[in-house]
Amino acid sequence: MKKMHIIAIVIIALALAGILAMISDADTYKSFKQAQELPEGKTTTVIGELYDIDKIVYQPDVNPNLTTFFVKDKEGTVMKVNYFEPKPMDFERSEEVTITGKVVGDEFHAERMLVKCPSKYIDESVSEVAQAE
Amino acid sequence: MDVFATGPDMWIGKVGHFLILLAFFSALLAAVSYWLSAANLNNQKEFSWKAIGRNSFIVHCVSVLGVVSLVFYMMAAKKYAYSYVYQHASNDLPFRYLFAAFWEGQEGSTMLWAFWHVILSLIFLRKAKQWEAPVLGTVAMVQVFLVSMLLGIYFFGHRVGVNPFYLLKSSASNAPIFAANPNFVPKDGAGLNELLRNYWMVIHPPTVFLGFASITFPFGFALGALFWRKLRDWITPALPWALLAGGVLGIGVLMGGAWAYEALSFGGFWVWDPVENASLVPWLLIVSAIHLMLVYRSTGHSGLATFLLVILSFILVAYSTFLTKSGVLGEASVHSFTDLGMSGLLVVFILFFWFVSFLLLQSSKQMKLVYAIGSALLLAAYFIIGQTGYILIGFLLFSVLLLFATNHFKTNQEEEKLWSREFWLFIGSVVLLLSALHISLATSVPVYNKLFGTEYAIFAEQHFNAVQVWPAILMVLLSAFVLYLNYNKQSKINFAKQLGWPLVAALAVTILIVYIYKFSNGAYILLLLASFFTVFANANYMFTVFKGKLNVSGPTIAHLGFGILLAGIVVSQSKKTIISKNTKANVNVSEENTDLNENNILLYENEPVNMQDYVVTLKEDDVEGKLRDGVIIDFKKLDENGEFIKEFKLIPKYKEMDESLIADPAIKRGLTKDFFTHISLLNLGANIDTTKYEPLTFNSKADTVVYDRMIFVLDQLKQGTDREDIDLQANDIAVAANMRVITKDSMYNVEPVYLIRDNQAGLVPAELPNEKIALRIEEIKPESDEVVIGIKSSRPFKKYILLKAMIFPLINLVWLGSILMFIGFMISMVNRLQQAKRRLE
Repeated sequence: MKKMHIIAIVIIALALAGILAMISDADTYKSFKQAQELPEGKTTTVIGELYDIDKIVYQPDVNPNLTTFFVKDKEGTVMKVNYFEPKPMDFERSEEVTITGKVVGDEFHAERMLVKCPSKYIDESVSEVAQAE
Repeated sequence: MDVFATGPDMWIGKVGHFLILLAFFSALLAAVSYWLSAANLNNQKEFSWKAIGRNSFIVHCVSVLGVVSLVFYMMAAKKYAYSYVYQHASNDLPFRYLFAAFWEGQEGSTMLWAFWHVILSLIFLRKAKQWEAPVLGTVAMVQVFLVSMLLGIYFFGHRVGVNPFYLLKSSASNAPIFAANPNFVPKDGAGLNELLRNYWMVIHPPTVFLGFASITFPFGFALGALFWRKLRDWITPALPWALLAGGVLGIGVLMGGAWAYEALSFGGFWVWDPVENASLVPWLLIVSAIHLMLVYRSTGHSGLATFLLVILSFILVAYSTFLTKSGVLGEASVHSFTDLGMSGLLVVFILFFWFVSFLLLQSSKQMKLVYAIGSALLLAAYFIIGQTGYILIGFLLFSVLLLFATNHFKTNQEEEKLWSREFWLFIGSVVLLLSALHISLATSVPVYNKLFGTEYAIFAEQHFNAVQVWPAILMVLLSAFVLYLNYNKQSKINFAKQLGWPLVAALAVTILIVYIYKFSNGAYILLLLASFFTVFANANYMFTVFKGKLNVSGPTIAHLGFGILLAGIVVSQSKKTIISKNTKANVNVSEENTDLNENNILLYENEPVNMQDYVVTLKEDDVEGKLRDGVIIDFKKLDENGEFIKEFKLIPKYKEMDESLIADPAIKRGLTKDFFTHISLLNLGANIDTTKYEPLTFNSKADTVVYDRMIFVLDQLKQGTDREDIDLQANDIAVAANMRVITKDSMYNVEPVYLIRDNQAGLVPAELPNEKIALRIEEIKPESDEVVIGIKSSRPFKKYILLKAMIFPLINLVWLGSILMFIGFMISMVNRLQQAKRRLE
């Protein structure tokens, strides 16, 4: 066997290892219902929208590292979310939230959250400026 | 769009539109003429076509420079009638951020890229010789696509690109003000995003785009070489360009990291964000290509791999633009652009150059025809059956498989010797390629989702770290010894003698670091060892072999820097510690939460908190109002006996915008570690009326409400009262609330009473003079099970902030390593330039 063949086999093995790592770490977005059915302690990601902005609770005096709110997922299920970070800026204005974490009891414990905010729509900002003048 | 609008500033738009059209058509003409010149190599038409190509290319350069100057002028002169100016500039924008505002938008970043192509081409043109036609023909073709992204004209009902000279009234035509007053011009603009008002925003984008633009040149050389079948001559003149790209793009990527670290509070300089990855991948590929070019030039081996890697670097630059500009990353990244309707154009851009490259890679006319027909059939299939995802993957596979099936680079030369330099350079390039492929595939999840309608989640940071640590180990290990080997022959390398002491030194340093920072992850320890090995091995090589000769030591310095960089990444990223642990937390109301995060701590003014060896205090401002945009945080280091050792102050800045807080972290830089502080909340002013009872609604069964840094717990409502100071009479009706008040240090039981005597309601408050608060029952609502408790608090207000403080150990190695790497690339580039000059003479 030539040296090049050994090298080729090693490279293919490395590439396969990488692909396997990707497959084992691959995860689809889940709904709350699906997340609830996962084995306990398994982390997953849910996309949804804020359900009721009046129910966002953040009390830094009590616990500066806890924000709670309700999220409605794409199937329409609403679940309470505990997010263990300070409330993100402009959170109330967010269009969509992507939360990563796990279901504990009937609540979702989020470790990470990505908030998608609407980019300021140009028509609207022109009107604001016009009013200000 | 109203091109013929009248008004004092309308000339800018008219000239601008004209220049964009001129830039587009002159680039098209230049591309066609240059390639016709290349096709007529060595006959008389070569020079006439080349002359046309060059003249139109110069017209193109002038018009691009004209467009850029015009846009810059209208931004500096604040011509808010234009949409781009309105969106990105404003009256309060300092001049130094005008550049940042210029390339904040998509149009601006496209212009920046085109601008660098123009500048580099003008430099290239001076010494271009025979390569002028194919290289500038390629650049011109790329410019055709870039300028088309600025055209903003309608083409079969699709708008092509976004024009920087759009008038505000046509792009915001739905705004009611324009119905009332069509000539309305705002007096101020929306301005540059507050987060982007940062000097990194001024220097990071132009550096990355300069790197991107320089990759086009090796790509042009490669296409020319394939077109002419002059398979090896191009390496010498192309190498300096590839080295420029490697150096500049590398430092550009790292500037992005430094920016993220300093200003964006990601918690580090690298989080594997898709936008970060999009610029890292072309860098890995061009570095891989550089190594292969060296192999190919000196041995003639790995020809196909060299061409493929140079081509892939360019394609991945284009793909990176697609990722950031098409909006496809919308839910995956915080800082991608939204789609302005250019994704289709960007896809055509990528596929065009992919197709041309793979067409040229085929050697025989027949196979070229087979490839072209096959691609055309796939295109037809796409228009008939759709299925974008499958057709696209089919096309990519078809291109690659057909190429390998007909590989005309096959050589029957003997194999490389095991201990020859080219053999290990080749292995290194493959490792770089594998690393780039993994990052690229893992980052493309949102693209895959869009193509196949799936819903895969993007990969977490941990996935990238776990996978990428292995190619990183191989890369630094190879960088350690590859320079000790010779080209083309079995080197007589005495590992023990030459690499013995670097290995021992590396072991010693690694053990020290593992001990100090308590490493336990085997892969990270291995990576540390390999990194330090490469540092010492290259330092040794520099002094024993090169004897410190600077002009040839580019590769050594780059490899040495790479080792330092990776060691710095491992330590600073995996051993960053959050010291603002909220240990003596305020009362924990929900005790069932087991996975509490305690990374942020509330810091009240003049109330010291312990963090590791430090006593941290939020100080009063030195002078009232002087520090309106920052808070002073004092760090005092004490020894075991509480004796003062040293002290420093950090002043994290903040700005308040539209009710939200934009915080700018403060970093105390030290030789071995950085202190990083970031505020995410601040309350500097009293917002409580101390003279009134504030009504708070409780559930009357039992409830907890937080107000003014205290917790109020209602345990129950009861008939009658136990209070001794109230003397109940026979007909009295009394309701008392059993309550607890919990402050930071104490807990009190109180009992406000609602008393009805002789049809008169009396509110008997409960007072806590020590805490300066009083409570009373304001109203009882039995129908909704609610009770309203009024609370009057006249406690002195204390300013507070929410602080996150972190320590990044050895982060200076990251900056040192990347600067050394940049220097190494630049030395190599100068060296190769001189070499190329000698070749010609």
